[in-house]
Order: sequence, then structure tokens, then C-alpha cells
Amino acid sequence: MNDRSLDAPADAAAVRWAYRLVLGREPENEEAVRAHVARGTTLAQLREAFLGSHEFRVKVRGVAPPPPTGLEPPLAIDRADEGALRDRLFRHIAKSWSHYGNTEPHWSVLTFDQYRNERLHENLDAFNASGQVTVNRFLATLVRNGIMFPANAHCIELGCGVGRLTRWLAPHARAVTALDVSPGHLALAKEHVGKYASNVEFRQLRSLEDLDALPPAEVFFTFLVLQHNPPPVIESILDRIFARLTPGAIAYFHLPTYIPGYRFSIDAYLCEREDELGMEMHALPRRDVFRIAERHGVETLEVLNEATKELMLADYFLMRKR
Amino acid sequence: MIRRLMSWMSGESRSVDEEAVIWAYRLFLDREPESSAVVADTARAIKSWDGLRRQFTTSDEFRQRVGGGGRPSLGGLEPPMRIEDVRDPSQIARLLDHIAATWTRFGETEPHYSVVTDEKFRPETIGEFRASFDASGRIGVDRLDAALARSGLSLSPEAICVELGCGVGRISAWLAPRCARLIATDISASHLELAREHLLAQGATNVELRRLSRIEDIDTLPPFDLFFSVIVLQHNPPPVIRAILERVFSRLRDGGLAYFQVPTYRAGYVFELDAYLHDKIGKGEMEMHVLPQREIVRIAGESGLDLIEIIEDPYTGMRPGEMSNTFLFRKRTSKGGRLE
Repeated sequence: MNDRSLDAPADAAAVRWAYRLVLGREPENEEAVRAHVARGTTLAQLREAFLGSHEFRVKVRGVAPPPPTGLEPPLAIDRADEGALRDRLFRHIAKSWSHYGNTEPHWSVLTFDQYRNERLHENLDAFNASGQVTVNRFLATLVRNGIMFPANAHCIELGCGVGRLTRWLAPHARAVTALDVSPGHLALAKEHVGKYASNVEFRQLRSLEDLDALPPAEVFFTFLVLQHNPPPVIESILDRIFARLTPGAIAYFHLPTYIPGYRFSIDAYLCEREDELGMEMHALPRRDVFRIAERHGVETLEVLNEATKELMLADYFLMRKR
Repeated sequence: MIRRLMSWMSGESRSVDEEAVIWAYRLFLDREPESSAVVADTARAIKSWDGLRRQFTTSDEFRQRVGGGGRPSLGGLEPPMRIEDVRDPSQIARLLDHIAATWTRFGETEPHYSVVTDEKFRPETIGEFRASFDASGRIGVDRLDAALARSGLSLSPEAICVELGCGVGRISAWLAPRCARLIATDISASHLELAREHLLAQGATNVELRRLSRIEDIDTLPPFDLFFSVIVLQHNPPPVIRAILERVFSRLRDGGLAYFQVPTYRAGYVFELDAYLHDKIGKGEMEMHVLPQREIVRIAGESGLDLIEIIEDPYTGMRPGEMSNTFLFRKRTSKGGRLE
């Protein structure tokens, strides 16, 4: 019996057996096998991908998404500390989202078919109401951790989109600065939120440096936004936002911290993605979030896994500046 | 081969040969089979790939690996828990005495089952299942390795490790080869006696077993580089968990790592000292307690430890309304800086 290292690249035999035993079928074609082998995935990654696949979970076992096992391997993520490079990545994301703002503003916020333009009129009320539960979750998280929503708070909401959450957040704050990179989204947000609240200032985020000019804040809130930015951009955003928080300020944010098989290579990304408009999903490991927070004296109060249906681990972080 | 090829093409029942069994071990259990005899037996006993998948995915080992399969994480709307803050050392000593009495009794009556509460490990059947009991300790150390790898950290071969709650040495036997010296501690003398026999049989010569019967005993440990503890702290009331962690953190060397599991939320959990003393003392139950994340992070921060990772773990079964977390912290150097 030959021992195989789990770190060794998976060969065609390994891929075929993963199809047969895990999914109970042969590969679609030889190309599918070749693609796995060409990717240079290790046996451990292959195992994780197949056991975590939608097909295995739903068709074969009929179970919910996999929990973290604690055995997940590290993610290969290039660091990019250089400002010019981060700006370049930011501009690329801003371009994609400005495009969505002009084409599918609501669907780009919640990617369900009923929120596409052609069906939006019959589903708009449900779309707008859907933000309440997220704000309620934020409030419950504060209560669970024994803290009050800061009085007279200035709140920064990053990535307000069309104002789905802003409307529910605004009544709790003295003032909200709602930021987005997309003028199309912002125009719709202004119109929608204006019906309910007069304490919201909408601002277009044109560069990462714009974050440094924000007035100091007692609350930072963002949901389903950071995930669409490459890791170096997420790092830069958190770093700059944490710097704008006042002592005692609260940060509540949602961020994927582990996606099986995820990797971020700057060269590959610039080569493959920079000219493409699209919705990307990224992750930043927890250790990086904690490292950046520590730099600003921001302490962790709670990290809660999201009960996601997607094949990734996303967390809600509750933090407080000392 | 031709027959098998044709049966694949027709989508009919696929026969199981030894190669299929070996791959099932690799893909579902993440390891090679124990022996060729096991492979041959399995290949004879199971008739189809579907059967093979069922066999492996319903095994305890697979469930341990993938953590139960379900995902009932908290929804985020859960209310706070009521946990009384008890600081009086005499009360903490009283609580710990109660836990020591309970666990010493478990050590005398059901030592293996008290460590892993699987019916197979009751005294009547442990003889038959001893090998799988011993093997089950490995995943705890595999998870430690994975957490270190994810965080870009490693354990020096010179490391002194402290394991809290070693029980009968189930994990200690796997942890010992990872460090220069392992100090395996437990509150129960009866468990420690079995641990001594087990580790001797395993040839682990670098393990020192110590009974910790009082909180102050932690202060007598030599400074160490790794603190390791899983499915142990959960059996102590919150004031005891807090007191243990405070003392452990202060004995950790600069740059040292703390890797441990604690349940951090359970819907409806309440700890009130008077009610607890009235209801639980002398009952001899296996208790399950929690301490919220923010408390653990705060205690660690006060001792100069930086948070590296919090991960939701499957140690308490990931039942709805419950959360267990494994933490990885690192102590700062005396210069005070976070280690990057």
C-alpha cells in the first residue's frame, strides 16, 4: 500500500475516485479531470472541494453547508501594501459596481432573480423591508454583549448600495454617512432613504484616501460589502476606518474569512480580472482582521459565523475601540 | 476491467475492489487504511460505491472530521446570557473542589466514557473499542497543526507544552511527540493513573503527569510555550474557567501560544452562584458550561495575549442555539509589540 501525502498534487486517478466515491458518478468528461490536475490542487484541497461541494451536500447527503472542521489549510493570499497597487484594485472594483449601479442596482445588492429590473416593481417592497433583520441582528448583538448603541452617534455605513439597510439604521444614529463607490446606487439610495430619514449624508467613495477625510465616528457598519473587494482593499478599508473611530466606538461588520480553495495572486488577478466587469467574492483571514484591529486599539467582542448557504465561512465581527 | 467500465457506462451498481476502498479512506477519512486486511474485508463486505459512501460518511471518524454535517450556527438574534461574576477565591476553590470530586469519581467508574461520551467507551465495551478510542485523540492535534499552519506559525521542537485536562492521555499520546516536554495535567487522580499506564505503553517518555487540584497549583508550572486544552474547560463553571485562564496566561512565555476550546454561547444558559451551589454540589453530573467570547478575549488581552484566530468548532456537536469556539492566542514579547 503506497502512502500518499495529502500535500502531493492530486493526479487523474485521485480526481476520478473523488467523482466516483464522493459524488457517486463518473466525471462529465476528461476535460473536467484534466482541469483539476492542471490546477495543481493537493489531495487535501481536492477532498475539501468535493466534500464541500453543493452536489455532495445536497444530492448525496442532503445536508446543510459544511461547518468549519478546524482542519482547513491556509489560504494563499498575496499581500499588497503598496498604495498605488491598492488604489488600482479599488478603481477596478469601483468600475464594476458603477456598472451594476447603472444596469442592475437592486439585484447587485441581493442577487435573487426577483430583484432584477424586469421583476423589481412587484418585489420592491419586500426588497426594502429585507434590511430590517440585519439591523435588528446588529442591535441584538450589542445587547448580547452588554453594550448600548452609542448615544448621538455618527455612523459610517460602508457600501450603502440603494439604501436597503440605511433606512433602518438611520433612526438609531444622530447622523449617518452612507458611502458607496457607485453613483447609480447612491442616486437611488438618496431617493429611497429620503422618504424616511433626514440625517443621512450620501457620499461617493472615489478613492481609498476619501476614507481618511471622514468625520470621526462612533459606529461603523457594513454588510455584504467587504466581500466584493480583493484582500488588500479590505485591509486598507478596515485600517482607515478603524483610524476614524472614536474611543469606545463600535464596529460591526460582515466579512468572509475562509473560502475553500480561495487564493489571491496579484499577478494572476490583474491579468485575468482587471478588465472584466463582474461580481467577485473574496475573503480575508481572521488573523489579518485581528492584526489590523489591534494596531488601532480595537478589541474583539464577538465573532459569529454566519449561517450561510454559500460554500464559505463568513463572520459577523463586533469590535470596540478602547 | 472491461466489466467495470461497462457497468459505469450503464450507470448500474459498481463493484467495489480494494482500490476503491483505499480511495474511500483517503477521500472520506483523510488517511491511509490501517492494514491491507481491513481493505480486503471492506471490499468483500460492501457491494457498491453507494454502499461504500454510506459506510464511510456515517462513521464516527467521518463525523468527527466534518463536524456533524449540520450547520445550526447562531442566527445572531440570540439574547444575552445571565452569568454571575464570582471573584471570591474561597468560592472559586469551593467550585473547583466540587468539580474535582465529580471527575475523580468519573475516573473511578467510567474513565474513558467520561472523556468521550460515546456508548462504546463504557467500561463494559471499552476493551473491544480501545484502539478507536486511542486513535480518536489524533484529530485534536491535527486541528492544532492546521490552526498553526493557517496562521503561519509553528511549534519549536524545544517547546514545553502544558495540556490541561489530559484525562486518560488520549490526546497527550499524540501531543507528546510534538514537543520537547509535555506537562499533562488533570484534576482527577484516577484519570491520571490510567494516563500514566497508557503513555508508558505508548513509549512517551517526555510526559510529566501532574495533578492540579487547586487553582494556585497552576502557578507552580514552569513557564511554557504552548497551552493546549480541548473539551475540558467546558466542564467548569464560568468563574473557574476565568480563573484558570488568567493563571495559565500569566505562566505562558513571551511569544507562547494558547490553543484551547470553550463553549461560548448556549441559549438559556444561566449561572448564579447560590442556585448552582444548591442544585449541583454533590450531584456528580457531567456539567456543561460556557464563557462568552468577549470575556475570554478580554482576559487574554489583559495578560498581553493577541488574538490570532477564533473558529467555531464541532466539539459540542453544533446543536442549534449553541456555539463552541477554539481560540488561538499568542503572547506578546516583553518589548510589548504584537508579533507579525
